[in-house]
Amino acid sequence: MRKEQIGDISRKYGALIVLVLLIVINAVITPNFLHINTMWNILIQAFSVIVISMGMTMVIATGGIDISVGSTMALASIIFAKLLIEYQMNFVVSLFAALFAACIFGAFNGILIGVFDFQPIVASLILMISGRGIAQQFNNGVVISFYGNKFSDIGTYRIGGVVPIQVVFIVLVVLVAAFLVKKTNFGLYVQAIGDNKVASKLMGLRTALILIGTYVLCAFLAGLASVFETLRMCSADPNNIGLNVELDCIAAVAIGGTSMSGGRAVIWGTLVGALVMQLITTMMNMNNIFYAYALVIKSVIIIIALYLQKEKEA
Amino acid sequence: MGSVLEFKNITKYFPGVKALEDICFRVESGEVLAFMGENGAGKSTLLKILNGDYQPTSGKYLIDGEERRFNNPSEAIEAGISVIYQERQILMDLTVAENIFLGRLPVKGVLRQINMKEAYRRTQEIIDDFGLEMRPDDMVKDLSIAYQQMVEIMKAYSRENLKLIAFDEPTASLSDSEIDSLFRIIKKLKAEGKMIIYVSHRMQEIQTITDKIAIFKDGSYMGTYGVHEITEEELIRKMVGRDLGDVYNSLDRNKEIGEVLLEVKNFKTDYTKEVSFQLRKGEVLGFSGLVGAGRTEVMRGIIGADRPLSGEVYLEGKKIVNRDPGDAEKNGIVMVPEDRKTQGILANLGVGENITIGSLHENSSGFGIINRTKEKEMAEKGIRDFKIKTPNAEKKIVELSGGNQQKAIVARWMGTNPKVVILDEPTKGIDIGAKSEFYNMICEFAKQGLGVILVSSELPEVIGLSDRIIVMKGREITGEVSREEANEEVLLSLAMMGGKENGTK
Repeated sequence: MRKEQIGDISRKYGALIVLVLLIVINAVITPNFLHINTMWNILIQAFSVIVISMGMTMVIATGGIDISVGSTMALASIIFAKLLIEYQMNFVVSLFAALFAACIFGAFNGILIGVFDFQPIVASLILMISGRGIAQQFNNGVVISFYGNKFSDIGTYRIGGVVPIQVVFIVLVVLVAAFLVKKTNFGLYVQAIGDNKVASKLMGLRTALILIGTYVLCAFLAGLASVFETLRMCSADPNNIGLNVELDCIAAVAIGGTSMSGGRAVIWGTLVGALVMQLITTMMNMNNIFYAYALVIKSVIIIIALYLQKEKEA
Repeated sequence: MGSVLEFKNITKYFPGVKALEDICFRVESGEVLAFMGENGAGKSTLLKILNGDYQPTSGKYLIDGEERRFNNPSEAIEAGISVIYQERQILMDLTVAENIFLGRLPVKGVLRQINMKEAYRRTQEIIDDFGLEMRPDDMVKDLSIAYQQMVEIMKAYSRENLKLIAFDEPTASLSDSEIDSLFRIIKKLKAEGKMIIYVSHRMQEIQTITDKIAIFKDGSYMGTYGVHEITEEELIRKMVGRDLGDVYNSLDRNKEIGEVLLEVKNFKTDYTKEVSFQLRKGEVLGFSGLVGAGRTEVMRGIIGADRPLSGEVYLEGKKIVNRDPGDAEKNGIVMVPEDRKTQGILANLGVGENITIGSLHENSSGFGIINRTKEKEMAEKGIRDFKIKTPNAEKKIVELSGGNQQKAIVARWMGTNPKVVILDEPTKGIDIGAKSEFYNMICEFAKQGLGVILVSSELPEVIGLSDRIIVMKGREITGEVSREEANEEVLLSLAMMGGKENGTK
């Protein structure tokens, strides 16, 4: 009986256990780890993955996947910088244009998947391949930089000189995502579709609309992450921004305990998953571990996290 | 050739539940033994212990006098024990031969590459043995459901050491002629001296194919009887411990049938021919017919799950158009689908959420934010009103019995306050006790002034409950019978009219 209880706890809190372990280990071995600035840095670096994986959690809860979020970031980034810097347009207008463009990508995915029943991985593969090309097209593949510009401080702005603006947005996005999943019809519908699409349709859910909404939300968050990233780097580089971010997001969702087959969205788990991913990277960097080893160690920790919360076989 | 299987004091506990208690009996070769009992009586648990899916908490089983214990189904199969489940366990995208010999395909040459020719030859032998119309290189997904099941049986049969084959409700989705060919195969296996276990709820089949009946009740073994030694009434009494003789007569039926509520005129979809019928307020309208007669398809068309090609639907005299089931629900027509597992339940969600999800917009603000208090009230009301047996509303729905799952799905739909409720095979695969609860529920709906459409393949059920019965065959309506005129012969002859049997497709 006791053994089963331990199993239950590790299944439920596996990701959290790994996170706590990582923090403890780092506190001991990594110099300066417990400094507040290290914490802020970890959150700033994890920003994109945390924000996008909130959307990814819901996409995966519908039984789908979105591997085009990196390309979506590239698109939002170049549109934002082009309007803001080259056309000298209003900040808010540029921001909204970038987010809108991201949402168009999301709608494209959602329509293929929700209306035309494409397989999600194939549907989002289309924009994963072509989206970055479309983004590069906007400025002929040239990077737009704006160091020393009046906007170049926004990305590193700290509220009250202490809390990085990214951290505020992380809290905001996570709370909204948790609210959506726990407290709204939309959240329940998303999980219903992933659980049983046929039943969802027969019970009168507008599955196509809900799916489109989910993919648009995911793309919107990718756009948001992209704008922050662009502001922080003071450059829009459609060739490199968000490269492989989809893989980190999917890993964060998986570590967080959301089932890849859909039906359940675990928002707090994804947050923990994203932090685990970032902590590993930070740990490797701060201890000067050779990059190739770092990747292997990262995989081992992911395996441990997944093993801890493996469902008991029926 | 004769082999014997003995169960000795098999007991199985699940956390908090006693599934089997002290089961002792034997199965002998060359006979077909039926397992009968209500759902949850322990039949399937015993089969799962036999094929290594579950381990008994205590007790043992002996095959030919030797104690065996299988850690998983493949060990059981190696030892000659095969269980054919309701759910197909074959691979749809492989051929018949590949399915049969998967994992032990014949090989040739130094490289030991697969010898497909040899596999086809051996498969053809088995097909000929069984006398079936299929080819070794047919894709399984192109076969009818009955033939897919045959492939599973052939797979078991292809092992030389096959001793025992168990069928778990094998005829649930077969037509009559398909059942005939299944029975032919079972007789053949019996003649070859195999042990055969046949789990079914259908009395008629049990009498046709089995020799003895082992009865289970609440996890206990109640004895084995020769199939002709025991009457149907005795059998049911042993299974449920109560007389079910006149469950239909004791129903408190609605006597006041009102004006026309739903009228369907020349309605046609891709899957049906033109149909027209009326449903009145407070009426229970039965839809009878053989499997595949098009009853479900008509209903799917009405609620907008399939696109209508022509025709009209009037509700309370007003023309309505249901482009999808969501429209139908708004208009007040809901359908409880046939297969709760694939079309009804949301397995990951709790009982409460499964009930309330059908009418969330009533329990939430304009922005779609759920009012948890109202939602909880509704879930609890559903659980109370429909007498769903669950410790709480949060319990995952899959952990309930089939009957209670079905009640939750019905509760979901009734929560939308419909005017017309369509029940498609509402009592399929649920036990007799829960069935009579459903029957009372249906009468209650009619009394509340709802129009009820009852699609059912069980003749006594349609006859016992309906005020009027429409019979379908070949995707069109072939007749309409009033309650007074209805009996099994009339309905069957309408369902099979034209003499052409609804055979394998």
